[in-house]
Amino acid sequence: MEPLRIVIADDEPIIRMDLRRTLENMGHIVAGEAGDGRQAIEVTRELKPNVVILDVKMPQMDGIDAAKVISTEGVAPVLLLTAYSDRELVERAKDAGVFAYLIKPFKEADLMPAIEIAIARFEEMLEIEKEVADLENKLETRKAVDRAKGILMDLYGLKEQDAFRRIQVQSMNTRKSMREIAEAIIIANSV
Amino acid sequence: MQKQTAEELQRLLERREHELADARQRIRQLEEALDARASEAAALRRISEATGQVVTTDDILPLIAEIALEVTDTESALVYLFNESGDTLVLRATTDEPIKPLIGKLRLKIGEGITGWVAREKKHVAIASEAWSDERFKFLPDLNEDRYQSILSVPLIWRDECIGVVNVRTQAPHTYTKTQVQLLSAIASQVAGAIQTSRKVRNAEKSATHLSTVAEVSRTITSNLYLEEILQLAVAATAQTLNFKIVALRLVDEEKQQLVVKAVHAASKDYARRPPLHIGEGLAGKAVETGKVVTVLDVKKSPDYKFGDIAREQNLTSLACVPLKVRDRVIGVLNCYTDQPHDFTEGELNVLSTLGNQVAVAIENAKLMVKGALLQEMHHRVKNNLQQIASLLRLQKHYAGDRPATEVLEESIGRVMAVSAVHELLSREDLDTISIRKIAEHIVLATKQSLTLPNKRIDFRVEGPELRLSSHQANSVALVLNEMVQNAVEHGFKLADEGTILVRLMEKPNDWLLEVRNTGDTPRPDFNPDKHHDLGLQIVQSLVRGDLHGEFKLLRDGEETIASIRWPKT
Repeated sequence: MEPLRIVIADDEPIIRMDLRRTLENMGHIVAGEAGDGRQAIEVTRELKPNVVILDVKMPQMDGIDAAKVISTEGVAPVLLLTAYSDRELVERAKDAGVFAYLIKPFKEADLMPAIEIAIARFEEMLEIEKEVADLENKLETRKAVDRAKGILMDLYGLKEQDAFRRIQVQSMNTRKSMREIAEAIIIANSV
Repeated sequence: MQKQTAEELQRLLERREHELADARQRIRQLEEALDARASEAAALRRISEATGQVVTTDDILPLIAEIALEVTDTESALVYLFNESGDTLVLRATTDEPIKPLIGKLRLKIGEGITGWVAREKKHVAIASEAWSDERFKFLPDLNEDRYQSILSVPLIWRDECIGVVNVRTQAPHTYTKTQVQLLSAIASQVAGAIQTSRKVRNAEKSATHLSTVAEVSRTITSNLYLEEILQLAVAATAQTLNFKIVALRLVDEEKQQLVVKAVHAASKDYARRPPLHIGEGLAGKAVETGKVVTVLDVKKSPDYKFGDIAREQNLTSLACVPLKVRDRVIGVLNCYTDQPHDFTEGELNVLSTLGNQVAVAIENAKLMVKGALLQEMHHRVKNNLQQIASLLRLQKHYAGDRPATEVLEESIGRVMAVSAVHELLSREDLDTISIRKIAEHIVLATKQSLTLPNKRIDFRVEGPELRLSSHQANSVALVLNEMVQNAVEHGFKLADEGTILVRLMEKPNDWLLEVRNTGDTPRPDFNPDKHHDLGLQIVQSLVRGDLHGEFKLLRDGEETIASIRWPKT
């Protein structure tokens, strides 16, 4: 396994020392440390690690709020470290975009599986987001092409198939996407 | 035969028509009379609409008496209504000036006299002359009844229920026509409806305010507040919504079996200083003992009341002591005072007991909630500390190398003891801050006891001012101090057999300075704490920098080695 770059955030220096030492022993790199939530966001933004480990109870900003910011920005997967184990917290964590969590006191053996889960879920999410963006683009293309076809049919008395063919040919000739061509036709028609 | 019947019917119809015309004319006259008195007419229209209009009975009844008089062309009219328990008729209105003082006072049992008979039988009685000779007649000297020859008595019926009686009478003999009887009955039934509606509206209004009071109080007290705030809200809400001068809340102190004032809503602060009462003592004590509401019309005159002088001073009059009950357990009492004499009605007492139960449940919930929050916080802290200890042990494992296991364990035990010193002090002092001096004393004592070198004579001393830190910072200082003291023993007394270890806290203008001085061995001249890979020093460095935002130094001063940490005051 390739060494991972990891950011750790906990307000207890002893726990940070432990995390660093344990992760380094496993062959990973602790790229940065933070003692509170705000600092955790800054360090994570700057270092773009493979994973960030956040303690829940930290001064300035708690781990869940920090996780929310980090997840929304899609910077890195978040693994939450918590002494709380109640359901309410788990729910809050889920909503904040936390991908895995470990209950304190944690075992050395649990650390890596949790990190792997966080990374895997994060990648899954990125994949899904990409797919959604792709589908959205397809949908927009279809909408634009349909409208453009209509315009061409009205203007030149073309059949639907021929109107489509024209857009397609134009797209190939100009090396532009069908959506761009269709949008150009719509704009030209509205002027 | 048929013809005869037809003729009879025809005559009957004609007579009816005549009577009807007569009645219509009477109504017209009546309306004219009423139009002359605009305000009364407005009231009458409200009555004749007889629907859910809010009019109080006291406004309607005198008008009814007058209308009855006009409709029947008589000299005197009286209106009786049943009291709340429904067994006694009470005179509520009359047109006779001399009788007016009797309003509200004159009472008739159901079945008593002609009026009582009418109320019981729900039938009217019309007597043209010598009413006193009727077998149902009861002579009431106050009403001058022997002077009246005729009487027409009509029940006020509402939904098959008699709620009162209207009487009209004349001194000369007077024959009441069917129309007159019908007209009075019609008016009576409308009046009955209006009265009942008005009563219902009033009751609804009353219970609505009561209910909203209960709702308001329970809403404020079930929200997420601490106990003291809840108690204060409970008394304030009760006082404001139910209009009490003072509302005080006493809670049972289970240990001392006393009732202690916990919250007061009053203009002056004197009440809060009242001493505790024993259960069973005074009116409040009685309410708690019996679990029932205790009321008194005037506390100043009650021998059971304990604070008569204060009551006189502050003009407290009526009192209701409402026990606060959770299931069958009484946890306190709500004392509600008025400044005017007030006879608590059954309805009010019901509301107060409901309120008492609500407040009691809220108090119990709040107690549990505080306990719950505390428990959760403790749970969190314990877990965090276990994590810290697990981390310390894990670090020790990584750093152990090939040192003997007992030595490694000894070190770990020292660290766990330092953390536990913080907790012991925390649990003992009940505050969230901890004395650094006491921590130093703890650590020194633990070190002395675990000292495994019998032939070394080390004198330990702790000096310095009192400084209290938050448990988080204290925890860090404890761990750091433990390492410094352990190091002083370990490295300072390898060769030397005798000496002193002094732990000294000093206050500087912007910083705190904590030193561990030891006479004994001199450290190696090339020693550099920043480059040292000893776990103890790593812990010191990271805690001092990370938690205290300070710095660690190790230096030699004459015969002494000084390990010190300096951190800014917050």
